[in-house]
Order: sequence, then C-alpha cells, then structure tokens
Amino acid sequence: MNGVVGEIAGSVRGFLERVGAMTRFFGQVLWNSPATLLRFRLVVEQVYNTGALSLVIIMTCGLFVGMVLGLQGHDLLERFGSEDALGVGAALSLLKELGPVVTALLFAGRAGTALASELGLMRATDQISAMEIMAVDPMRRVVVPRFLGGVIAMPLLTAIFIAVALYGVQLIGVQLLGVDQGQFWSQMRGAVELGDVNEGLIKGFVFGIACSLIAVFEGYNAAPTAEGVGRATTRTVVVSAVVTLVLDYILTALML
Amino acid sequence: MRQSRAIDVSTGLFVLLGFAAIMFLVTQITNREYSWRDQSYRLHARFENVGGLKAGAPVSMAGVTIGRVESIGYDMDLFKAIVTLRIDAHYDRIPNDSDAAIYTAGLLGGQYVGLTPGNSEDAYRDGDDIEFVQDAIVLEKLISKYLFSQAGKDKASAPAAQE
Amino acid sequence: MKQTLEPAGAPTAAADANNVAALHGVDYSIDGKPIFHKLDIAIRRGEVTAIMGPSGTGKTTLLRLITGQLRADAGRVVVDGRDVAQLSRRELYAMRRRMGMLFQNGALLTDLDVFENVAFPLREHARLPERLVRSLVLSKLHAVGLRGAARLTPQQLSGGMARRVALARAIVMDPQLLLYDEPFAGLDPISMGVVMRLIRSLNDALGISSIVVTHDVREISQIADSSYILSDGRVVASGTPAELREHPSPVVHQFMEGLADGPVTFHYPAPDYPAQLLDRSEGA
Repeated sequence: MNGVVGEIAGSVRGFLERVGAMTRFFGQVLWNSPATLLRFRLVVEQVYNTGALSLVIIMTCGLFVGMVLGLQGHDLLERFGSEDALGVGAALSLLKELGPVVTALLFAGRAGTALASELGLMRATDQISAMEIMAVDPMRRVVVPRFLGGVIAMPLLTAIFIAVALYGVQLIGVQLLGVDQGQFWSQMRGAVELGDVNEGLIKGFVFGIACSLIAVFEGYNAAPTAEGVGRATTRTVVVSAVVTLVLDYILTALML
Repeated sequence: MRQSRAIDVSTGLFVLLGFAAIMFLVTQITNREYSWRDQSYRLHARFENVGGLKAGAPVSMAGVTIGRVESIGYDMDLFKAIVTLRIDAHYDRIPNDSDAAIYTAGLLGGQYVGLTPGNSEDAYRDGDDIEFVQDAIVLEKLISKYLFSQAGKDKASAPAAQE
Repeated sequence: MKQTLEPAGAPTAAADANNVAALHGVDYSIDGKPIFHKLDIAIRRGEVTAIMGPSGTGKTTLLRLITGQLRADAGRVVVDGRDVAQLSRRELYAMRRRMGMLFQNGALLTDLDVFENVAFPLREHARLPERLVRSLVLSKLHAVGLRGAARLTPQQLSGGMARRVALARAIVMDPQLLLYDEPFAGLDPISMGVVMRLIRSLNDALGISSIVVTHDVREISQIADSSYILSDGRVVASGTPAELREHPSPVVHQFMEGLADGPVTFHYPAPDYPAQLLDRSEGA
C-alpha cells in the first residue's frame, strides 16, 4: 500500500522536477534567442531541417485528411440534407482544430524526433562537451537555432496543411461526390472569418513553440548513451502529443 | 558550400510556399471584409428596440451586404438606441429617405439591419441620420400580439380586432 | 626523451610558477561517491605529463576539473596561475581558448566536413579573412598528415583518422595546454604509433604542455616526461616512466606490468568456491 503511494509521490515529484527544469531551459533559450538570430545562417539551416524536410509528410497527410474529411463530412451532412455546407464545415474544422493539432503531431513525429536525436547524439559523442571546451556556447550554436527553426516552420507548415487539406476536401466533395462547387466556396466565404484563420495560425505558432522546446530539451538533456538518445526521442513524441492536446483545449477556451 | 546553397533555395521555397498558403487561406476562404475600414462612411439610426442586434452584424440592401454595424449606443436624451452603421464607400447613392429595419436571418438566426431604398434624389452622406426606422421584432411582443388577436376572435360579440 | 632530475612531488606555491596547471588538495565526489581525495598534481610547463590508473579512477573527471567544466568540492585547481573556480564566465571561456582537448572518440561535429571541423574554432572566435583561415587549417591538417582528407566527412574517416583531425582542431588556435583523453584507445598499432609521435612532436615543436590521460602504459612510457598513477582517488606514485617501473609499490607494479592479479584482484569478491559448488540449497 505504502509502495503505491510512495511511487505516485515519487513520480509527481519527478514530474514537477521536469517541468521546473524545462521552464528554466525555456528561459535560457529565450535569453539566447536575440543573439542567435544574428547568426541567421544557422537558423535558416534549421528551418530547412524542420520545415522543408517535413513538407512531404505534411502535404501527403494533409491531402488525405482533407479527402477523409470530404468523404465523412459529405456522408454526415447528407443525413441532414445539408451537403452544401461541406465547404464551410470542413474549412472551419480544419482551420480551428484539425489543421494545427494534426500538423503539430506530425511535426513532433518527424521534426521533433530529428531535433531530439541530433542533440542527443551530439551529447553522447561529446560534441557538446567539445564545444564547451572550445569556448563555444552550445546553446547558441546548436540548441537555439533548432528551436527557432521549429518555431518559424510550424505556422507555415500548418497553413500548408490546411490549404492542401481543403484541396483534398474539394477533390472528394466537389469532383467526386458532386457537391455544388459554387455552394461549396460561397458558403465557406460567407461564414469563415479572418479571426478563424488567425486562430489556426496562433495555435500553430504556440504548438510550434511547445513541440520545438520539448524536442530540444529532451535531446540536450539526454543521457549520453545509445539508450539515452532512444528514450529522449520517444519521450519527445509522447510529451509533445500530450502537451499539444492540453494546450489545444486551453487555447480554444481562451479564444472562444 | 554547394550544399548550403541548395539548403538556402529549399528553405526559401518552403517559406514562400508557407506564405502562399497563408495568403490563400486569408483571401480565398474568408469573406472579404478586411477592406471595409479603408473606404466607408457612417450613418446613424435610432431605434426603440434593437432586439438581439450585435456590433459586427451585416447591413444589407436587397439582400446584398453593403456594410456592418459598427457600434450600438444609448441616447439618454431620446431614450433610444443609437446604431452606427459603416457603409462601404462603393455604395454612395442610397436615397436619403431610405428606411432601416432590423430583420432576423433565418428562423432563429442572427439579426441584421436591412435598408429599403426610398425615392429621394439626394443620397446619404457621411454622418447622416436615418429617419425612418423599424424596430426589431421581439418574440414576446409577437406572441402577445397573436394571443390578443386570438382572444379577440374568440369573443363572439365584438368584431373589433385588439392591438 | 627528457630526464627530470627530481621526481614530480606535491606542488608548492612557489613551484606553481613552473606549472601550467596544478591541483592542490582537491576533493571531488559525484552523488556522494568520492572520486578524489586531497589530490595533489602538478603539470610542468613544456612537458608531456601522463595521468594513468585503472579504469574508473576518474581520469576524465580530472580533465574536466582542469577545464573548469566541473567544480571541485574542496581544494584549488590552478591553471596558468589562476584559480579556476574564481574565474568569471568570460575569463573561463578566455582560458579555454588557450587550451585544446582531444576526446576519446574525436568528437568531430557530424554536420561539418573535415576542413570545417578544423576551422570551427577559428570561425567562432576570430574574424579572419578566408585565405588566412584556409592556410591555418591546411597547415594544421598537414601537421597531422591529413591535408588530403580536407573535404571528407567525419563519417568517412577511420577512428585513427578522426582522432588526428580532432587533434588538428585542438591545435588550430595555438593553445598553450593540450589535454588528451585516452588518445590510444581502440587504435591499431600503426595509428597508435602515429598518435604517439604526434603528441611528442607537437609538444616540442609548438613549445606547449600536454596532459595525457591513458592506461596504455607501453605507449605513454615512450613519450611522457613525468607520470602520475592514480588509484582510489589518490596519487599512488609519480615520477618518470623509468622511475615508475622500478617503483616498490605492488599497486604500481601490477599496473605498469599489466599483471592479471595483484592488489587489484582478479576475482570479484565471492563466497568460497568449493562451498558454493557443494551447497545446492543456496540459489546460485
């Protein structure tokens, strides 16, 4: 009996410790960000690393999410005789929820793990230590550029995901299932506001900060062994997913 | 160094693609209301009851949206609500005896202001007041009207309809 | 090989002038486990000093104390006459720029090629014209014999080559002190010979001091000027390699000769062998 309580207390304390460490880390990252932005070349390389290299997976998944949305949405709306609302329904759900959340999860899986494993490997092969001894601040040289690269890439990826998904919706809805093209777009235009687009982009931005931070934190603080790197990569995906969904609720509540 | 050139190009393409997507989302799928602020003019209308009318509700003529409700205030002297309408400058020939009424979109939808054109040769200018207004139809008043008229019909004797 | 007239003993404050680095009565422990106990070590200028000892005596930790990456629990770590613990962050970084360190696995940055790896400290710390950077990098690569490999990536290098590139990187800023962490580990005999020769020749040619942490006794004995043997967090012997070979202590003797059994026992502590075999009731 005591063992279970003790274990729970232990994991709560471990959790709090982690949260504290990550907050402190976030502070350090922010503190070093202005200086790092001056070394723009490093940031550009990381935007490529996290963003451009994720394009294929984001666009592919976006297309299929859109197509499924078109299929399911049409079937659903048909029951109420409102197939013409497919455009506006899909657009709103993509903009406000599906787009940012799914993009964030995909980002964590592709870019987040890449960042975590790169930094973890650097830690394990003493590259970070070597940098410290060469009097180069590893934060500025490898950590913060990766963080900033992710933060810049995420909103862009979110927008691309949503745009491609909408294409997928209309591909299925209009071309395949015969929803009236005029209605599809006009109803959408009638009901979707700039605020909805902002909501989606803001969520993308916030999720980008969260997922990038988690990835670089786990990688930088990985145990310098092969299992350590592996564990860090796994934790990145898991923690990113949970945090994204929690933040999603909070942001939605705040923005509504 | 060759490698970094390719990275630059790819990153540039990616960022451009991202911005193009954002532009697409902003322009192609929203109602193009974001240009209202630039060229528009104000009209005022005083209502006894604005019902559920909210700021941001559309102002339309013949079903076409020509503007937005900018704000709703209260006139302490006249004891009426003052609704400020922002009309797109494009529509600059609204006869200045047109009236404004508050309608409801759909059965239980949001309320909006509809303008019905009058016959005047002169048009409204920025800052003008709309003279002829029709209040919002409040559901309770409608129901009591109906009940009273029903009660009137039930009275076998007096044929006069009650208001 | 230089012969010193007296063995390197416990350093005094006066002798510090001759020492590029020194530890005075240093205590250090990790998570409560003591690593060093009142450690006294002096690294004399211009010499190759070896730090030897059985695995796990914290030799790498020692290097980290000297670079200031770790802070001693007690005692003083002095580098170039200054107490490392007293330095501000900027002074610490300035001190590190005068050091070079060679890691066990080279620790080359995997996203840069050989040339860029060697150029890394130059690019980070100095704003030199590209031609000058190129000359410096190529000359250091030439010194380690890898000028032709300048455009290879770290993944394409063998272990020995990677270590030599790391060495070129360590000397590119012309440091005063070079730290080597197990430079011979895992190398074939030829590469070992190459690294050995490089350590010695660089030390003499560049007029610097070198600290080599290793347990490759045979190799280091050929090039070191003085050595320390650590065991259980203390110095158990110090002197020239020749003196150590004659050292009376059994610990030193076992280490220098590579004997399987001695003060460091062959058998991990276990119950009596016949008793354990015969006693089937005990779970093995």
